[in-house]
Amino acid sequence: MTALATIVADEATAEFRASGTDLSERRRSGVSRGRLIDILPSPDMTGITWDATGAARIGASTTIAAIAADARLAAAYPGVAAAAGGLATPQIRHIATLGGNLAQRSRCWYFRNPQIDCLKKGGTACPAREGNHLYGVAFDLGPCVAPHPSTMATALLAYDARITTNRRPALTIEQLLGDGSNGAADHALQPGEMIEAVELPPPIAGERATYKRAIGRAYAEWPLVEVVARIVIAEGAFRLARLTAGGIAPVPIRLNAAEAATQGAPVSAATIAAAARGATNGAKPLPMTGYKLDLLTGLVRDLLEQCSG
Amino acid sequence: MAFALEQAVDEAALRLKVDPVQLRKRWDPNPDRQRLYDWAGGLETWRRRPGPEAQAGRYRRGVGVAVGYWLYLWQLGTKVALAIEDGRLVASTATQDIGTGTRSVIADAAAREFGLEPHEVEVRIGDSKLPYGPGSSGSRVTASIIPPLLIATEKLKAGVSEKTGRRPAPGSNAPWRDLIAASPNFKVEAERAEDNPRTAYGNNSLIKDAGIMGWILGFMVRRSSHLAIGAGAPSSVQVVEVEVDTLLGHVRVLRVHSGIAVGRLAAPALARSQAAGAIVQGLGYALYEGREVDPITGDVLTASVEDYRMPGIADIPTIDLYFDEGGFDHVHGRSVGIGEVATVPTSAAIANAIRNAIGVRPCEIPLRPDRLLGLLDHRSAA
Repeated sequence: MTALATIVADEATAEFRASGTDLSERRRSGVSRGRLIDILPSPDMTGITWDATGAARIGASTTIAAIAADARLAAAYPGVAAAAGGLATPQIRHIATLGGNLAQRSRCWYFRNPQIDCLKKGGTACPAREGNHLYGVAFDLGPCVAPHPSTMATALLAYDARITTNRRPALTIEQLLGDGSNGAADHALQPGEMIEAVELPPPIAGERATYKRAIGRAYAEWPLVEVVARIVIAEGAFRLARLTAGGIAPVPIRLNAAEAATQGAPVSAATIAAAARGATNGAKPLPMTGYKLDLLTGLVRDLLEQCSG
Repeated sequence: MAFALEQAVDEAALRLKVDPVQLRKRWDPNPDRQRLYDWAGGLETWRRRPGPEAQAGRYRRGVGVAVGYWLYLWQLGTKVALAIEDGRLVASTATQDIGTGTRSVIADAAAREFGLEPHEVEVRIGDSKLPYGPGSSGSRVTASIIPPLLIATEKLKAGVSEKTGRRPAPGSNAPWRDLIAASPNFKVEAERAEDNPRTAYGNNSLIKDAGIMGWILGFMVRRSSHLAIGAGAPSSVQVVEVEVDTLLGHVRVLRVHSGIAVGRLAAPALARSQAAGAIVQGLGYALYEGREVDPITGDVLTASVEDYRMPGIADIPTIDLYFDEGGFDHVHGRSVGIGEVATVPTSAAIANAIRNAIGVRPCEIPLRPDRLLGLLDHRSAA
């Protein structure tokens, strides 16, 4: 345990600040009022390193722009690089960090409003559930109906990445963010616990992957739905398909039924259509979020066509 | 209102199987808009628009047209003063610049009359001690201040000639610059006069067309707001081309042609900027901008530019601006306001283009992906 973490352990309400792209707005609005601990990254928290098996380790303080621009990473983990290049704006990507992206707070407009109580601010109910949840979840997995905001988590989930914190090694994305049933939190980090690095398993040869978000504008908008697709094709059939979705559930989710529909199946329009249909398996849309299921099936079809084309 | 009305006209043309531009040309007597219809009908984008038959495929292209007009308003009693102070030309009136470029309108118009550069004209506004000026609303400012500015210009020129004993040398590049520099300090003032009552065919006052109720309304607006509703109507015709991604409910506006008739442009560079900005504004409320509230408490949830979405640079289409500078012969200087009219038809033209692309008529804005997918009959929109 570092000296930094010792200080933080005494400060249950303190928040870490990486580049502050999310935090600065919550400070200004008054939604975040506790103490701040600025992260002064150690050298091993910045940059991308590679081991003998060809697996990458990305320091938590590496910027999103650096991840998007790294040629070796784009070759080994194209879905991670594409997701990094597709989120936020160039200005944000330039300073925002990987750790900060994973640990950012919800974008829910009730949570962000300092006048309104909600589960994530110590309240007892989710005002969006009975209220206006236009941008809410379509997989209703818990009491809070806000989708998780982390695009990088959606990508890392598709790669079985492991998260190392200053307290715990090798957390899965599910362990880091929970299963969506805890409406009070956006992640399962303890007070004083800080993400230090992300470790990716060795890349798979012949993988193709891509990322896309459905939005109203051309760029620079929080995803209505976003999907990462990884596939390996051999002898005209899908040998591997990993599909994860964000913007649609309280945590990024694996699209298990869609993956299963492609497993070993021939690369064809019929297989892709079956996968797209399977994407909504287990969905429970809210009154205002049914459209997200159309976007989800559309994205799965679009990305599988792109990857297999 | 234009969003609904101009789609109704489009629907009528569709059912009558008539070109929507020609339908409007047939029943609209306004001579300025008649010229804009001819311009719109000749556009390559319009002539090559997709037909009414249903399109297939993920991406569908559509072209739509819509028309807008605005009342020609000017404020009674508006005064503009022109002065020479220590060799500089100073224009003043108690109006204000809320970001729409009133300062530039005054500087450009005065500079043009005296053969100066706009930066050589000092403009004083934003102080109620100055000569009575118009409020900044309803596209009234240009039409209120240009006529008295022109009258004051004649007075000042006469005064300068008299006081310096010279007239500008013929063929001089900047005939008035030297004379203004040599002139002693003095000031003239002029008031906005009534327009010439003789107007071209079809250029009636919109309120006179409305009969006795219009006459009463005009009288009341004059008495209570010191506002005259003049003859003719600032007009615009827009032709929009869109591409709809039917898989992801996404609309991309590819091209906007905006034809505008507001008489002679008082400040051409500014008019271009305002007309282009009006397209961005219209596109914003057609596709992105929505005020969302909590249905129980009424709390506004879209209180930041993150949730209240506005166009970004990548959402801006190719913009083609066309100004027909004819008409408004009854107005001294022939310049009327452009602010509102330039954005009136945009949302309806986009909706008509989407109708052309997908065969379903949108009735609600903003046309977000959820609404587009709803129109395409996947599920009901949020």
